[in-house]
Amino acid sequence: MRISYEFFPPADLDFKRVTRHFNKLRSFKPSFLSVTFGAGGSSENKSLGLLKELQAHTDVDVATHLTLVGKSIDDIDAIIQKLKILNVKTVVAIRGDSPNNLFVPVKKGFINTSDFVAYLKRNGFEVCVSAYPEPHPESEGFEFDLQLLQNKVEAGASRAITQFCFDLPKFDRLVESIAKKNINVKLIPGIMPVTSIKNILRMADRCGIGISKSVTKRFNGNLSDDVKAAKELCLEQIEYLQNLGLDDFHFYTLNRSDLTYSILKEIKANEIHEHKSWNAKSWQEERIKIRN
Amino acid sequence: MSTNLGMPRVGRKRELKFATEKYWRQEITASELLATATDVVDDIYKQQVNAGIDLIPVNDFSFYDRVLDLCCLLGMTPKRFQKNVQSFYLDEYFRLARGDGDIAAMEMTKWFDTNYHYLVPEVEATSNPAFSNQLFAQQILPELDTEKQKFCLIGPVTFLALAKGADAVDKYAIQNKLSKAYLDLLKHIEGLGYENIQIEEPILGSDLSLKDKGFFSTFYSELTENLKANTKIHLVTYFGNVEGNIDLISSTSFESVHLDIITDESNIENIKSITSKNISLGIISGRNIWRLNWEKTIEGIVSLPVENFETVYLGPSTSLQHLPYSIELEKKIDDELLSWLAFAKEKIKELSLLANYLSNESLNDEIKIIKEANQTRQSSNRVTKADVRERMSGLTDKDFERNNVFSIRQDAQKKKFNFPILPTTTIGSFPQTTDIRKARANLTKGEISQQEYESFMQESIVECIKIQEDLDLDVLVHGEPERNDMVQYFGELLSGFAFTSFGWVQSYGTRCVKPPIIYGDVERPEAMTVKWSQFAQQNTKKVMKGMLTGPVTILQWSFVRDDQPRKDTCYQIALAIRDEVKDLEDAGIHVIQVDEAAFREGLPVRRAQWNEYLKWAVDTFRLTTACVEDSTQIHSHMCYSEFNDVIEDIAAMDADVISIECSRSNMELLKAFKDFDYPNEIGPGVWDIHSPRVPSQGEIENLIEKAKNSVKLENLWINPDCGLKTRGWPEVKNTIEHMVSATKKVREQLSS
Repeated sequence: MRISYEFFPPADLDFKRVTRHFNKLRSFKPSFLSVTFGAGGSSENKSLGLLKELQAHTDVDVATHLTLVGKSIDDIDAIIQKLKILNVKTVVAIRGDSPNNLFVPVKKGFINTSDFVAYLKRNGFEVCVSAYPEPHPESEGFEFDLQLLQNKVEAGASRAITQFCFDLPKFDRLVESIAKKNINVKLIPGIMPVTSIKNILRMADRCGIGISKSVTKRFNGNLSDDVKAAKELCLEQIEYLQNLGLDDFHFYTLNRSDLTYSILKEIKANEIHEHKSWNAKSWQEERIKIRN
Repeated sequence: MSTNLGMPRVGRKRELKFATEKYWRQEITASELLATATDVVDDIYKQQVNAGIDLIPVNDFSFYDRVLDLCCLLGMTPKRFQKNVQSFYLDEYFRLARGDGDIAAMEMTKWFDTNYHYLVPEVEATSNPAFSNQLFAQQILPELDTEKQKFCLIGPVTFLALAKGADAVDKYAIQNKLSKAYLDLLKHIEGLGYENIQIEEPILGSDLSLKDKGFFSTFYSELTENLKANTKIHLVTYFGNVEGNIDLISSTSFESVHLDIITDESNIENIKSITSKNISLGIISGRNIWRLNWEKTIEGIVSLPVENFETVYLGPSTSLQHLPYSIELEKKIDDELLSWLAFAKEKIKELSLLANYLSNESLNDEIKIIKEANQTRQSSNRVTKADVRERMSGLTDKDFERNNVFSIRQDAQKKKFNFPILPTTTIGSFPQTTDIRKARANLTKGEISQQEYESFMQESIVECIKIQEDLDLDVLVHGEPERNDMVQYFGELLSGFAFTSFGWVQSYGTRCVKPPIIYGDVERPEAMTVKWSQFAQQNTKKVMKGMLTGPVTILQWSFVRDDQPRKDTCYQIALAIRDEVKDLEDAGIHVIQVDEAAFREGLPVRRAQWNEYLKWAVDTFRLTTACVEDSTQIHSHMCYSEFNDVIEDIAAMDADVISIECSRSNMELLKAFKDFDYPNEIGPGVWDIHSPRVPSQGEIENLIEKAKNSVKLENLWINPDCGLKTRGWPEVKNTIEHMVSATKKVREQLSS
């Protein structure tokens, strides 16, 4: 199993606190880290600040998120210059949220994410994109999202990190469709280790995804019970996804280490029973065999 | 008030062309192409704002062609282009223009009498016009300014008049639906916030059919009541005199009507018949590259009968799309000549200077500079050359006549050359290989010497001759490896011509041409082709054909001076080429071809003006070629396919042999020659060189058989459709082999 962590630049700019959390998680040997990238100039510098800080604490690739919304190609060029100076190799290319969920390209900006991916790729970056087990709130549906994913992959993206999603059978559909459409991408589920159901609901609402009763009822408001519940939830999720043939997991750490640490520690202990490593294609073949 | 009708749209240094071609090669994304297009649009808009133009055109931009844009906006794309649901709309748009695998691209043809090509709308039985705003997703517009901007569109009547109906389809059957679609388009534009809309109906400058007139009346009479009260429709005409169509124009209340009084000065007569509130007048040329003549223009404007109009807009005669971007980019042209020139950017400044001067009559430095340039140009001895003038005035009828009529010449030529029946030849150029182009580029860069260049070219010529001898052609050519372009090559060797570095003008899509500028009396300082032809003749025992470009073609593909009639400039070029013809003859080249590829495209838009043009166009050809002995054979080549209406004039050119484009029509074109009983020799093309296909010997035999039915055997030549410059050697060798074998087979059949 390969893992990766996501961090964001804290509002108080205390990058040291973030690296302290990261240091606790280092022992699990992540294959890369990513730093989210907000809109606008000041947060751009914050992200790059955190990125630099993390680079100083690790040899693994620190990727940066980059949204295209609100930026012209010239703006992107300016950022690319900075990323090159920092020797950033990987970019997580995302369209980003737009006001009222209505995407209008800015003047001389990218008109879609696949063009953005192709541009980054041409500028020498390895490109990671997003994938959606549940349709994106602005999207016209699952098939539409899948087409966008295919476009992004054809434009040069090699990895796709998913939106977090607790409705696990939705991953079946995504994995199956990717195999069926022959989309050549490494799918990396995003894991959200959150102890408070309130936070989960808030984030789910922001991302336009549903949280079922079976999830909410596992939380009772008692902190130690909820930590346990969250951990179990994530472990179940990872096991389920591993059975789908997925072997890369991206942890949305929310700049905290405790829960991610305890999840990974548990997995590490179990890793003696090495599971069969499937890829999406062999999984598909397996399914067909079972069906027949 | 000043206005403009449209700007060049490929970018200052053809940025749009390069970006589009990169997009086609998938080297950049659509987003980057749109960003480049945005820069181009922003730049031309800013230039007009800075120049002080009062009413500025927007949407004069197009990614390929504005008629194609309209096809998309009106839902008039041909049925064979099944829409691919997933694809990006701009890709669909380019498919229409460029074709897609087996799906043929939409046809392209010349835009009135310009060298710009538009895509021909197709009306099919299934055509169902309806407004579609998909293209507007890619529409690139400057930030809205209701007062200052007018949204430009080509009008529905011109659109339908230029459309072609598919087999047995009456294109006018769609006019009601087309009107509705066009109206929806206008309403959409109102919805975008525009109040001024420029509708261009250049077709009003030509002879309209009754159906066109009917459509105009129906569409425009209902127009204003269907639009918002504050929407102002500016009707724009250009490329000709609106005479005969003035009643149509006056039957609708337009905000303004634009008349082009440069192309045809007599259009001024129509001003008093215009009933709109305002008038717009094309008072500087949108077609030439000269600084305006300040005094003459002012005098002209103040004498115009415009007192009945509330506002008079001063504009260019046509859209400035037919001009290069700006003289600022030219570093190689000397300062004096440069001061005589005005490209698009300089023209809009002139318009604004004129409008300001007429409202406050104060002379500023910019005006003084223009007046100075006018003066130096008028008195320059680079422009007027006494010996050329003298020669022109000394011309007599004799100079336009061969010594004897064709039948006598034909006898002399048959005796001299003793060609077999059905003689074979080619049109002149052979493949311009990469090595040839590289050698030329290296010469320009100074990487090889003139001597090295010439010996390389000589080797190419010897090789080309060897191939033709092996193929057993009867009349050989030297292959023209030394020529960059059939007009530029001669222009560079004649005096009175100048060449720009960035004077690019859109020809179609991303294709641009850089026409030479004829600024002064034309003279030939020294022989231009003799040494090459002579060298070639020395290397073969067969007959070598000398190759020249005709005066009309050189004129048509250049920017021509405006201080004397085009006719006079053409005569001067004819005299220069005549000297070359004579020198070739003296040097032992006794078959000489003078190409007139652009003979037909010089025809004026109005039929009534054809005769005047044809008279001097024919005369210049005769002047060029009449100087030779009876036994010297003059050839000409014409690569177009409509002869019916000019056949008499082609006969009047009196070339001993003409070759024409014929294979695509399957020899149908020869009917015109048969019906007219064309007296001289003809070589109908038996190979469509525009396609890389190699026709079989059998196919060519068939074409020769067909040609035999229309042309007397002793008058028939066998040759390809056009020059072979753009083809590759393998297909050239193969096809000529087939052509020669087919000819030999027919000869055998004839002798047995």
